[in-house]
Amino acid sequence: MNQFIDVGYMLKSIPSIASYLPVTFWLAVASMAFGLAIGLGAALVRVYRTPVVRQVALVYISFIRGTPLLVQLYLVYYGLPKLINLASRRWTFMAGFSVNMIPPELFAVLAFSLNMGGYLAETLRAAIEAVDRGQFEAANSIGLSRTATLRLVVLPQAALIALPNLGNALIGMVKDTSLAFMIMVIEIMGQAKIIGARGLRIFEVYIAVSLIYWATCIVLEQGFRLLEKRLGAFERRVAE
Amino acid sequence: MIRLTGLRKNFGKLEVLKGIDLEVENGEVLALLGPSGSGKSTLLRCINYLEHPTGGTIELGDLRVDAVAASKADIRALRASTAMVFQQYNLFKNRTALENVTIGLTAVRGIEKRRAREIAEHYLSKVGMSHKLDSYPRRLSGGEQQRVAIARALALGPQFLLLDEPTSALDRELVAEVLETIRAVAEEGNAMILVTHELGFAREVAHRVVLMDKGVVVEEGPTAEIFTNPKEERTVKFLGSFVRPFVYAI
Ligand SMILES: Nc1ncnc2c1ncn2[C@@H]1O[C@H](COP(=O)(O)OP(=O)(O)OP(=O)(O)O)[C@@H](O)[C@H]1O
Ligand SMILES: [Mg+2]
Repeated sequence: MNQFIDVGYMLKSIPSIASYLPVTFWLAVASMAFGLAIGLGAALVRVYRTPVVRQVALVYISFIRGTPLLVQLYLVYYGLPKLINLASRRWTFMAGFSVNMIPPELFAVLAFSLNMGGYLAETLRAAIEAVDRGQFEAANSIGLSRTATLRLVVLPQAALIALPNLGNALIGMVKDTSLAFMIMVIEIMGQAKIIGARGLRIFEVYIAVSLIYWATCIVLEQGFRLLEKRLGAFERRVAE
Repeated sequence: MIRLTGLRKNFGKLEVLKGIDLEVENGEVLALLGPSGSGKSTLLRCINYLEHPTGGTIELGDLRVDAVAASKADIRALRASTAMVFQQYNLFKNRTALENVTIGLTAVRGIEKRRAREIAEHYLSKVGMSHKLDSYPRRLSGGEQQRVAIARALALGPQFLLLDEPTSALDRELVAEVLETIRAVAEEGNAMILVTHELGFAREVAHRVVLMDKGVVVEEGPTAEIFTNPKEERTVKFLGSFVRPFVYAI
């Protein structure tokens, strides 16, 4: 107990903390996936200047970027049940539905997705607008529909442009999932806190958990580097 | 038939097209000549609505579109009946040479994949690109990209072809080949507008010539007449400003 750090204890705590890595992983991946969908929608609305919806998107993006993630998490966690209660009192089909049936993970994913969507909207908008005008014109000139243009020509090119930012966003998301413990989701951070409190070795478990985050992020970084290489085959002048 | 009446286009205060009247019969190749900046590309781009004209009407066959009041359906129809070769080629960067040609066939014309590939290979071989079907545009030279762009336009079998300097990056021998291909397409009865800086090329392939300057048509007439007996001062000057580097042997 009087050593500066109990390395043995730290190492022993790693497997038990890491066993919650899947929770962290799925929180991040699900939030990223929904965030991409929301972000793409908001980005397209901005690129094509869809009236009205565009104003909504602008307010949404501004709000997400202008408030802390933790506050957004609490807003969802405390706000959504209120909305559900209100709804269940108004509409009979909602009557049997109880807020307690919703696992806290769902609140976390919802809040993280909305947050992610706000940030990715800007990333994706910039990437779509960075695609050469000539690509849109050529697509128009051969009569491709807007959806076909996006799917077959523009988005693959935009994805490559956005990829480094998407990678950073996912890595950021993995780290931000540590906030989910604030609403009782037990992921690696939550488990670390629990073990730390139990063994009274707070510092050791935080080192352990930081190592796990670090390793995860390194793996993700490498993964994105590979992905960039694969997706970017058409950008290279010389075949490999 | 392509018929433009009073076509105008402003970019802000800049008047680029100041009321163009122009007609191209089916089966006819019209060469559009004129100094740089005279509005040739803008004119082509107005016909398929890549630029929104400020005024005038566009007629393509039976389709008559008031440029200002064009509906989405009008624009779609204009684009469906035309194909364009861009001055900057604009090949899809994420698609191979072959895919650049098949994409319009499958996604727009709804042609089945295998058949689309056959058509694409046919046109790519006509422009001498059979050996680079699977290359991405990044790995093609300017001339090669231009040839793929021509194949992409021709493969769609459009009624109206808009070619913006389609041979600017090609060697002499290739120009002859491409010219042959373009001519064959014209003989199928398509109407074609060909912007070019190469007078020899215009002379070989065009039935009629229009000379544009500063957004107006300066002179127009049958090719032979314009080249041998131009009436307008500006035409004489324009034709004279070219020292023909070589004569096309066709
Ligand atoms: N998008 C645009 N915005 C503003 N001005 C433009 C735009 N496109 C073209 N212009 C202007 O319109 C004029 C005509 O351009 P255009 O490209 O039609 O000329 P061109 O005859 O095709 O020239 P070139 O032979 O060099 O290709 C030029 O002065 C050009 O600067
Ligand atoms: Mg031009």
